[in-house]
Amino acid sequence: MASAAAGCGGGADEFAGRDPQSGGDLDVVNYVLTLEYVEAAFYDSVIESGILSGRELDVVKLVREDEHRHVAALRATARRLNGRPASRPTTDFTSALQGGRGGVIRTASDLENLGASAYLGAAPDIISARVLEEALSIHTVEGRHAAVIDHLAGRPFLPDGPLATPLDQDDVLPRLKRFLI
Amino acid sequence: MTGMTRSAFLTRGALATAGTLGTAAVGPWVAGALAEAQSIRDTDIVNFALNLEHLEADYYGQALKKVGDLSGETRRIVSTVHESERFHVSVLLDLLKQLGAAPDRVPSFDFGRAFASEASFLALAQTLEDTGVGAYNGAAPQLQDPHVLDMAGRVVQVEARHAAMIRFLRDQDIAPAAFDRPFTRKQTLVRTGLYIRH
Repeated sequence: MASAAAGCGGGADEFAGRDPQSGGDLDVVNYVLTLEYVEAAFYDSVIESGILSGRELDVVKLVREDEHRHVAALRATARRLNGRPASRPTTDFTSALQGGRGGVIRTASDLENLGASAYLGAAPDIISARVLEEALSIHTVEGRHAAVIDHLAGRPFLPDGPLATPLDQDDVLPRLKRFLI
Repeated sequence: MTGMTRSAFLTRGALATAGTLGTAAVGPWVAGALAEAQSIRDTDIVNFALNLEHLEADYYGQALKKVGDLSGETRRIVSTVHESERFHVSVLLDLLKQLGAAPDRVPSFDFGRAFASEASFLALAQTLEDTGVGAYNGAAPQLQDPHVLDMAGRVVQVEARHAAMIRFLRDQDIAPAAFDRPFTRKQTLVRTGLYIRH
C-alpha cells in the first residue's frame, strides 16, 4: 500500500502557525490520490475490455475522465505542498471484468461509494482551506458518480439514506486490497 | 490539537495566509469566500443552508402534486429526493438547536411555470441541485465547528447524488465538470433568489 510520501509537510503559506513537519495534509492528499489511481485504472480496463455499451459506456467514459483529472490535480497539490505524490499502485481487475457487465457495474458502484465515503471521512482532517476546498470539490463529484452507477447497478442511489456516511482510512484501504498486486 | 477546533485553526490559517501574503496565496474561491467571511458565523451558514433545503423540499413536494406527466421512474426518484430534502430540513433545525440559535423564518416560494411539464420541472431541479452543491462547498471551508462541517459534508454528498440523478434523467452529463466549484453566498442567491418570496 502506498506509504506517506517523503518530504516535509508544506510551504509556509499553507500552514501558517502550524508545524510544517507534520505533513498532515500531504498524507491526506496521497491517501485520496491512491483511491483515484485505482478508480482511474479500473475505468481504463473497463473501457478497454469493451464489456459496456450504449449509455452505460457513455457514463463510464465521463467518470473515467473525471478520475484522471482528479489524479492530475492531487499530484499537483502534493507537489505544491513540497511533497512527493504517492506512486501509482499496480492493479489487477481481472476478477471484476470476469463478472461481465453486472460485475463491472457492481465493482464500479463499490469503488465510487468507497471514494465518496473516504473523502467525507478525510475532510475534517484537512488543515489548509485551499486543500479542503479542492477535496470538497472532488468529494461531491465522487458522490455524483456513485449515485448514477448505484442506480445502473440496480442499487439505491442513496445507499446510506439522506445523510452520507464517512469512512476512516482504516476502513477504506483494506477494501482496495482486492484490486492491488 | 490543543485549544482550538481544527476548523477554527483552518479558518485562522487561511485568514493569516490571506493577511500575510495577500489573498492570491489562497485559491480564488477561498479568497472570495474570505472576503465575506469576516462577520459570518456557523449559525448564519446553517440558516442559509436551511433556507435552501426548505426551497428544495417545497419544490419537490409541489412537483409531486402538480406535474401531470411524471414518468414512473421519475416519480420514484423524485419521491426519494423529496424525502431526503425534508430530512435535511429536520437535521439542520436540530443543528441550530444544538448551536443555541433560532431558525430564520421560513420563506415562501414561487416557482412560476416550472411545474407545467416534467421537462420544465427537471430543468429547474437540475439548477437547484447543482446550486445547492456549490453553496455547501463554498460555505464549508468557512465553518468553525468540526461537528457542523461533518454534518455539512454528509448533506452535500447526498445533494450531489440528487443532482447527478436529475441530470441522468435529463440525459445530461452527470457532473458538469470534474470538480464541483464552490459558490459564494451571492452566487447562490443569483441562482435561487428569483424563487424566494420573503
